[in-house]
Amino acid sequence: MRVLVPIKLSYDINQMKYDERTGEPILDAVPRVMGDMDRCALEAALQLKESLGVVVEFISIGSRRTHNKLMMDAYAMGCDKGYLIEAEDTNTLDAYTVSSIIGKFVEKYGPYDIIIMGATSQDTHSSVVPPALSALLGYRAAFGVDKVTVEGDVFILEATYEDGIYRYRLTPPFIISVTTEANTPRIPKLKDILKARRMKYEVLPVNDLISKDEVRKINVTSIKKYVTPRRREIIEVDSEEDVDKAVYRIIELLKEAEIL
Amino acid sequence: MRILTFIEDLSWIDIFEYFHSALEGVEFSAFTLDKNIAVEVSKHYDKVFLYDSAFNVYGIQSALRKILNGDKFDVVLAPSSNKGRMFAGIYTGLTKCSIVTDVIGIEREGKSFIVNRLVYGGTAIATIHVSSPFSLCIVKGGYKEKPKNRFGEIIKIDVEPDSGVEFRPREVTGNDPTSSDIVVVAGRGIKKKEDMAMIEELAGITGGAWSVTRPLAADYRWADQWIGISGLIISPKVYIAFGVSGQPHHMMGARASKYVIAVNKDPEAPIFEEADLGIVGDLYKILPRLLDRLKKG
Ligand SMILES: Cc1cc2nc3c(=O)[nH]c(=O)nc-3n(C[C@H](O)[C@H](O)[C@H](O)COP(=O)(O)OP(=O)(O)OC[C@H]3O[C@@H](n4cnc5c(N)ncnc54)[C@H](O)[C@@H]3O)c2cc1C
Repeated sequence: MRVLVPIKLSYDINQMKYDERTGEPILDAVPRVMGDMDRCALEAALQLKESLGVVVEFISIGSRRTHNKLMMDAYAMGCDKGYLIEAEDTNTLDAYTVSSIIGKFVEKYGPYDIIIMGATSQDTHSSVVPPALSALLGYRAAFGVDKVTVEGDVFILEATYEDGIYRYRLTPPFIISVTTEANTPRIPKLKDILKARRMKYEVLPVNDLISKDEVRKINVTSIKKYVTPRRREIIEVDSEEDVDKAVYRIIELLKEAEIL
Repeated sequence: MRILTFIEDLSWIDIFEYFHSALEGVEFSAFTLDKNIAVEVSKHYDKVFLYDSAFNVYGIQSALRKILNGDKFDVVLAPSSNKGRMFAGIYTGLTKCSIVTDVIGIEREGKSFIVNRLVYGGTAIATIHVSSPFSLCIVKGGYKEKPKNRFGEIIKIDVEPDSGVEFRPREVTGNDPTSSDIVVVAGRGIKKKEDMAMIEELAGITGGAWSVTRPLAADYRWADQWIGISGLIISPKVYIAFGVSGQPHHMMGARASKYVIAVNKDPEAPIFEEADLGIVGDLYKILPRLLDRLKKG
């Protein structure tokens, strides 16, 4: 069985930096990392490698310059083969374009029995590439999976949505996306990291998969820091009286909001 | 503009109506998975597609393929919820349209539209130009409009649901953060499960609901849902947090609250940046005193 894990290089949003004056993000100063959920997708695939002996391949879209470390990270975790679809400015590619690149790759280099993705990316958190890809390929699917179990040749996939728990029983081929609840990703040992450095990945120009006119960019006109207008009244509580004062202010605000 | 909406629950009718106007729609169709919702929705739409089934990806793919055989849409609207994103994502894959999620506003500009969306965990707003066809996933917010009366027909879509899907509904507990005026939220500053009783008590006294941050639900299993980008998006009058640090992924679910109150012992906690009232102190001192005062009336 072959398993494909598409991974993305995301901005680490916990380290976002904005220009104080213009409110624009200073993206060059923000580290780019593999998203937590992508790491869980790789881990889910690697657990299948251990239990079922599947071959784990991964793919990312980007440039050698920016994505080399990401590719090495995936190898260090224990993946068998990596592909980099070479394209610039990948963070402006629209979701359909990303799905169609992966879809075309699967048609050309597949078949893959299982595709595992992270449920959402760290920076744009749209969660739409996995469902778009499932529709493109016509695969059965389960998204936002937080538990994967295998019973014979049936995969049991559990996902929690707003209204309850959905449990899917699927047999390959299928596509799933996993959350950080699905597993705890392994941390590669130093020897695996060193070994990964010697591994090669295949680089394919994006136009081998889709034509230039099919590459659609998101037409972003501006990005600005989102400041919610808030009062920012701060009460520091050091003494017993401060506790009373804080409680008094909370109650006043609850009255103002017509809760009390 | 021919618009198709994915109606997950009835609260979306008013929100989508606002977008119907903003998009200058002329033909309104809805898609739903629930018979009762279909009946209600048909009073305000021209057409309602009912796929009477538990949510399942493969079934929705087939249902949409069937609908797209006869009908074409310029815009698809869905909630920025788990299912809304899946629905719009599948639609995008089938039709190649563009898609914007986490939408918080829209304006017309000539023949196209300018859409505002949250990005980077809700720390920034991106302004994006789109022209139809496109899909939007919308974040619950202040926009609402009274729905117009229309008389839609309900069209049943018969497709086989994925044979292997089973659905276990969440227990109805009466605790619903998405429809309460006040939501009391516990973060990792709450040290033991027993202490959640104080959080629930405050919700009870104020007639509101309670919830948690993701670690309390996902790691400790103290609750089965949480507030945030990967959980519930809420818009109560008051969001009051105890021991919540205020990381972007969490705050994105709470930003639409009218007032934000935060109790945290760390003066540097990011939640204070976006609080109307911030109390820097030990929640174990403040919360019991607050309960005490409220009980005394
Ligand atoms: C892709 C992705 C999606 C995510 N989605 C979500 C989501 O939807 N929702 C969500 O909540 N999280 C989400 N997270 C996790 C999120 O990034 C944070 O890790 C999480 O919100 C932190 O929860 P917390 O505030 O309870 O815990 P912490 O960050 O550990 O904060 C605990 C706070 O309690 C304070 N405290 C401790 N003791 C006391 C005391 N006695 N009195 C007062 N204060 C005290 C501390 O000062 C601290 O600020 C997501 C993460 C990722 C990567």
